[in-house]
Amino acid sequence: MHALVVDDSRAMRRIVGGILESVGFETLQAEHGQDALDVLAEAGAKGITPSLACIDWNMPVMNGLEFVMAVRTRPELRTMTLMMVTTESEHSQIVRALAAGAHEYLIKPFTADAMMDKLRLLGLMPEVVG
Amino acid sequence: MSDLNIGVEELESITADVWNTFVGEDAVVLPFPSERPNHDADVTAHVRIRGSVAAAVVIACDTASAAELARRMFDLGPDAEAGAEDVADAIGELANIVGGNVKSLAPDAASLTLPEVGTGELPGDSLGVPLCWVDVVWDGGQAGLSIWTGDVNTSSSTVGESVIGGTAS
Repeated sequence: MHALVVDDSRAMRRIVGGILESVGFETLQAEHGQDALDVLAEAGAKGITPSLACIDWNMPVMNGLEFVMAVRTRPELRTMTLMMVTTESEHSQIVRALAAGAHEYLIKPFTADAMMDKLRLLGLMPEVVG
Repeated sequence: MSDLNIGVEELESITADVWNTFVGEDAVVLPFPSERPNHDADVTAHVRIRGSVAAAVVIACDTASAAELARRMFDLGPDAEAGAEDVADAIGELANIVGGNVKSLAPDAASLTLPEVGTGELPGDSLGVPLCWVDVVWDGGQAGLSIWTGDVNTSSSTVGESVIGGTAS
């Protein structure tokens, strides 16, 4: 099972990617929304669609909200679960992201256990989905 | 423009959460304030909050502490040295996270700029006046985090959080 980590911080990509890999995901990484779309196109050409994308909000070039909206216009990506992983913790921002098509929301700082709880909630823990 | 309703207690709590999560459980926010926020350290990062409030969040520390932050966040081995890009990425992301949590306490809609990381003294005149500050220490380093409000310019940068605790009188 593949996961895409979209964050402009390499440190945060390492942390999020490390948590996901510890439970069995193979990870792809991108440093902003446009880069993520490019990574998804490249993966799609190989027949890979990630089951999950963990998306930061504040990024250069294309932010996380714009990325979510772009993904939602692409039917070939409809099976990918979108989880915002961000410091944008105001209720209004969470509502905006969910309305745009995000499925879940994890606020920084977060623990590995908190991320795994979200994965269980989404039915995306690898041992759960087999 | 509204006031940012945050004090040293909130900054202490945010700093402890962020440092304990991403730097290590040995990180401790000092329970006493320094006289002034430290903003002339070797490495600084800041983010600005725009909208209903004008504020900046700053992290400042010495070179060795910044390297230790990067070493921990990138999970480098005990003998590995963090490169300059790793250091900038790590301290910038910490500033982003603290800044986002501070922004969530703004009374109305606000936005956060991307972090800016630099060396040497911050452009203090553009940051306004210090509202509150804390110091955080961990095995191998220390840093100062501060929140500034008021006369903030329109720079697109954002960085940092600080280490020592205090509140402007």
